[in-house]
Amino acid sequence: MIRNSFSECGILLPGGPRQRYGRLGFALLFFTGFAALQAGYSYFLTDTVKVALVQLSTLDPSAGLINLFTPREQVLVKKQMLLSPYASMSVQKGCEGTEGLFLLFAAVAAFRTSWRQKILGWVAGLGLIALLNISRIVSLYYVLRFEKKAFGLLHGYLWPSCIVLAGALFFLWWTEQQEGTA
Amino acid sequence: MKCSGLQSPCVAILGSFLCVAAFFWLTGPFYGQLLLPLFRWELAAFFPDYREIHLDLGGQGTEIYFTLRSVLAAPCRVGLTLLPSGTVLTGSTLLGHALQHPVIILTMAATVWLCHRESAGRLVVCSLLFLLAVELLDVPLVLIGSIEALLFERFAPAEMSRSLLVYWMHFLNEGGRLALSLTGGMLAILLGIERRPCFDSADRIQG
Repeated sequence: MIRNSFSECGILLPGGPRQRYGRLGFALLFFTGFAALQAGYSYFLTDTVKVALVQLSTLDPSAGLINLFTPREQVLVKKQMLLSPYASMSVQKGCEGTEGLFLLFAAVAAFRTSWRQKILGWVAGLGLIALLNISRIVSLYYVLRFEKKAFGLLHGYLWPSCIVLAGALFFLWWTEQQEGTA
Repeated sequence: MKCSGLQSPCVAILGSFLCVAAFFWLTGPFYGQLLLPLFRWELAAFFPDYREIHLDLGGQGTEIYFTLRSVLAAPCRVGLTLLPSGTVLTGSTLLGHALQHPVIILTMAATVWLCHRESAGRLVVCSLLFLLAVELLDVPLVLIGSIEALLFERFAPAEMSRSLLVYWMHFLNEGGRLALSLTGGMLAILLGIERRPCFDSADRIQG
């Protein structure tokens, strides 16, 4: 059985004729959904809440992981920074991974399926992006510590693209499940 | 021929991503240099208030930046302050941001091309056109947005929210850049191969 959303021509662009609003509708819904999520996040959450989110979702777990794998680093979290005797990295609000999360949430929301499946997609996507974001911060710390030259491209270019790639693969896998259960 | 030589679209996506990402990792500064004349044209055509005196790529520590140095072509009021013409203003944005667009759009196009080799020409043209459009919507507007953000922050913080360019800069920096690339890539694929019979046939090929 060949399924339209993943295995064949519909790849990277779900929403064929069987879905009433089609592929253009999916693209537009995805973009407006993302813009709405981001605007809501910026408008409704105060800076204090955002800083607390960065601390809880990113800084503390990242510092814990670095110290777990390399205790000699002695990383501390202080004023939105990962500090060690060897390197210091600022982790500001915006580094908590909401970009990737909102992209995935918007894609899942734009895909026509049941609410139950959407909620499952959102929960699984949240876990995936959180894990990826912590991996990103930990890897950036080590790159800053041992290979400073690569930091710029890794931070501004490779990691954002990797998160989109992982999100896209997850989304395609998730749509495959929807086709399988349809 | 569908995905010839590839067992799974996942392999096509991963393979495309690795090739495109590695290519732009190696040629990033050169790609940035290629875009500079276009950015200069856009700044001159759409932002005559800011006369560009220097737009180039430069390194600061571990990052490579697009840096814009411009002067006000005419006196400009920001809040209660009147800035005289000739005031020098500087804005910058990461080269890495400009590289995210080709990686995403060309990875999407390459993946689809691996499944639809017969439609490569049209797909390539559409992808390049959307890539260009997305780049023009990003770097020059973010450079001017960063200059306006600095001016508002310094002279009229309360008016910051009125600037569309500042809003656009924040939107792009908080994930909008990736959403823009993905949407551009989707539209390129739509225009590139939507009308080919094979593209819609998948919906009819069921078990």
